[in-house]
Amino acid sequence: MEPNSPQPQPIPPASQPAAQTPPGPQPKSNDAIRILLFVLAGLVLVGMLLPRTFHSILIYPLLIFALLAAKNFYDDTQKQVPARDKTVHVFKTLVKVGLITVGVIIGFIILIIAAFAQSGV
Amino acid sequence: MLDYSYKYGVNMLGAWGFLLAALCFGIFALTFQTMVVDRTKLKLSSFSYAYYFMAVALAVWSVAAANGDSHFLKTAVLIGDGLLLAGSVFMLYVLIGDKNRTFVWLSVVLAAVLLFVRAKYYSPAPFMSGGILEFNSQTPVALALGAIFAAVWLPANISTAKQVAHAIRHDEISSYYIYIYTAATISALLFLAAKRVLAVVLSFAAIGVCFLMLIASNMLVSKLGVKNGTK
Repeated sequence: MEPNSPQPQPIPPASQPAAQTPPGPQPKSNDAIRILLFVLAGLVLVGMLLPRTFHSILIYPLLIFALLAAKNFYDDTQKQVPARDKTVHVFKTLVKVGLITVGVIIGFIILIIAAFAQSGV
Repeated sequence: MLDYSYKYGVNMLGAWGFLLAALCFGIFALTFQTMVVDRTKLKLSSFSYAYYFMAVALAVWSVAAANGDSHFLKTAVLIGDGLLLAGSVFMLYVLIGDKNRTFVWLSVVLAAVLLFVRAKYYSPAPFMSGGILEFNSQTPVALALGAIFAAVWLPANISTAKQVAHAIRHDEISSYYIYIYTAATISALLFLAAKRVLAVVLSFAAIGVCFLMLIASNMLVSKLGVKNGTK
């Protein structure tokens, strides 16, 4: 055996597949249900505090809105995003839903102010 | 039983609303200090203090609304205005920082003068109506408060949002912060101006949603701050 013989170098495989990134957490469809329940619980809470005459006016549009918001949230959770951006993605989605909710509420307040101003009550 | 629940439900609507708003503001200030300031090392403690002052002001108004005594209401509104001005000075410090401390001290003097003018020439005349505390502020007072919110609180909030978003290396979410703060400011102004039960409930609900988002944003910073190695 020759002492100075070159050691055989390991030959890299010609077609090494790219390192597989671990898949991010799979979107949870339960999130949509959670947000829907949360919004509905909020609606019930608000509805209990409202005078009876406003129940029919407010609850049904808000219910439709809640369903749309939940659908939007569910669609967003189905999008594939890198795992590292998942937290930011969920935050952005929540903020979108929250801002739409606040926008609708502010719209209702403005409508109420306008209605009472018009009737002179 | 119905009368009992009505008395402590609808008749104390203003008191419960102020109390829950105080809790929202207080929790937000606490989480901002512990989850954002302590982790990112940004010099934004004044921002937390401003919201603490606002939370205490809301708590004072809650007690006043529950009590209902006219003399106590006047005193509580004046105390709340003082706390609001103190919070505004801290917000101004967020905007100016250490660059111009003289200006900050001048703002302290200005706040004291404004409080004196409020007590002496524009004495508060609040009253309770259907369980709701109506501030019944004179037009110059209402304009001054609106100007303070628009010229100090909102820019300071936006400045803070940009700093925090930059600190966690997610500058793109600063616009989300700005939207939340703007919605919260509008909701707070509607809450303070509301004169009907329905408007009070809805504006409080809007504030609640805004502060839930802000508390969630603090939790986001906490989570991302750990990822970015800022402890």
